[in-house]
Amino acid sequence: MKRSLSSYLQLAFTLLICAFMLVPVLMSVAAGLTNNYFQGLSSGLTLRWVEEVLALYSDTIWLTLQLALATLLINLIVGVPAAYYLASSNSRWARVFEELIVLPVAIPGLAIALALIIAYGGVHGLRTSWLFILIGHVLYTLPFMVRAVLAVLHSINFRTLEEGAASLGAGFFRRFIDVVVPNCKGGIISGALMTLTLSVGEFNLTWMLHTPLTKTLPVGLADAYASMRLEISSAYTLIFLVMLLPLMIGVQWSGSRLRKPHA
Amino acid sequence: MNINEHGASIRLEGCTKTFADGTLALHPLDLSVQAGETLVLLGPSGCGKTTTLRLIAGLEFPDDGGRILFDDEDVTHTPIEKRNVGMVFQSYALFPNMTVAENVGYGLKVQKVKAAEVKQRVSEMLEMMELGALAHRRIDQLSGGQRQRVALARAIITSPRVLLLDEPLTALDAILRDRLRADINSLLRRLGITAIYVTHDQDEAMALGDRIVVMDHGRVSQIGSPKEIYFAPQNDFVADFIGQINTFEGQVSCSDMRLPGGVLSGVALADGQGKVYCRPEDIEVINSANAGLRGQVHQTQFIGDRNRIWVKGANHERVVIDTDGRSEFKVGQEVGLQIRPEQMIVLDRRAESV
Repeated sequence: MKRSLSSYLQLAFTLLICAFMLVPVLMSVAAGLTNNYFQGLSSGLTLRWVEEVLALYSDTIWLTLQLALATLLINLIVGVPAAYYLASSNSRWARVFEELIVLPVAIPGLAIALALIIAYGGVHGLRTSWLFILIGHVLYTLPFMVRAVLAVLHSINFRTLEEGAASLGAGFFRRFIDVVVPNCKGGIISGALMTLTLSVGEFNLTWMLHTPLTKTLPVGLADAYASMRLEISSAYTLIFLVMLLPLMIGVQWSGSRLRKPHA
Repeated sequence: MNINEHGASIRLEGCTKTFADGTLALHPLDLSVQAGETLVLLGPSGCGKTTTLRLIAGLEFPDDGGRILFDDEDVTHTPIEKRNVGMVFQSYALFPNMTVAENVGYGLKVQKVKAAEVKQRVSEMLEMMELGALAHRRIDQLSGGQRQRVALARAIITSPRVLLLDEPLTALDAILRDRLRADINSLLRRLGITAIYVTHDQDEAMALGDRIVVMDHGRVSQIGSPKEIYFAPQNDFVADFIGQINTFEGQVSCSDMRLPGGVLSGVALADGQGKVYCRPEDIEVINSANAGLRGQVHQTQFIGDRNRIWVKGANHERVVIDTDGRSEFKVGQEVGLQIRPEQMIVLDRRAESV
């Protein structure tokens, strides 16, 4: 098949846009792997900076993972039943709550953080604990979990499925575990990946809530940009990307899987 | 297979149902179903038949004062999971996260039957329902008819006291519906289980029901055997709702009813304004010359076993008549109509005033 001129132009334009977006990422990665960025790649490649970042900031990496997993755990325990409750309830308040729960997404993270500090900053020990950041992350990510599960619940006829299970003798808890949860697995998975991605990458809220001893990856990143040499900051970016990319791909994958029937 | 228990008798006493928004879905209902009987709840949508079924199932509860009994046990406040009923839903409600075998075995698993026994009983059940080859299929890989059979198998494997079927054939196409109707019929007879079957399809009701409960606007219109419902409707609603029927309405004097096309004689009504019904197959077409009631053929339709003709001019509305399939009528032809008195349906005035 012969391609027309316009399709070549389109292709060129697309590639140009891709390059525009990818070049900074690649440059940054390259900077993290070169001996001296100002001399360029001719100064040789090295993993020295990556090692240095790991030595300096490994605790932020661990804290980030810990936060992300704790946020996920809470979202699963709270978010899935909450979505189930919202989907089953016919009350007007459930609809209002469904809208309210999205508010933290619309409000700037800084404002939420400030509100949290004003409200709970005085609670003994909380301000300096990583749990304070956890509260912020849960507030921020819970809507995504609830929404993802709600969307699936609204698309399947879960009430009839539950009635079917009940007619066979299954009590409430049993129905929830055997029928409701497995049938909104897709929503739970995509909500979970979303939670992890958002928690790992969250900066606004976390920056306001953190203390020198409770720094997460993005906060450490800002810290490195401000005070370290460019190679170290870039190596840091590299580590950040390595952690985040699989999650992002997972979100995309689960999204496209969910849209297909019988996935 | 050991599922042949006769099931429970069911009694509803003064069951009323008001929904949260204030609609009265069911007027006080008394109903009793014998053990092993198949009772069909029939009526147009919104007549209360599904509500009645859900009350019996335990998916809804009657307003205060109503009582539901299985045999002599009061189950009014027992939720569905403790009533030991089997239910087949219109949408089947099969679990998409389980295979056919897992769906069928779920009720046994919930009852904590041992895995080996579950396996044994499921495979027997699947054989009986001719689903053996599909045991490991996923639900979304089944056709509508297969899903329906899986739903039925899942509902009866636990030997429920009562089998409840909520329009189980509505989602299927006509040919499949006829075949499955026959299957369900023989299954219900074989199991001897008490069954409540909800439908809006009168053919289904006639074919399956030992007795039919015709419902309208949250009330029972008539309860009776299919033949009673068809040949002896007790009120206008049942007469109109079940099958084709002609309504003759006019002034009666000395057993003669005056109609636009002449006189209908032999009407068992007192003098004055009156009404009789007649089924299309009960009207005889005769030579117009010596007929008391005359009209012209307006339209004919050959249906194979019979000719359906519409006659105008005889009555206020067109008269529908089923005649022998070999008869010949031309549009515009003058015909006489004759109805034998015993084939006229005269409503019991008392029943109508209830």
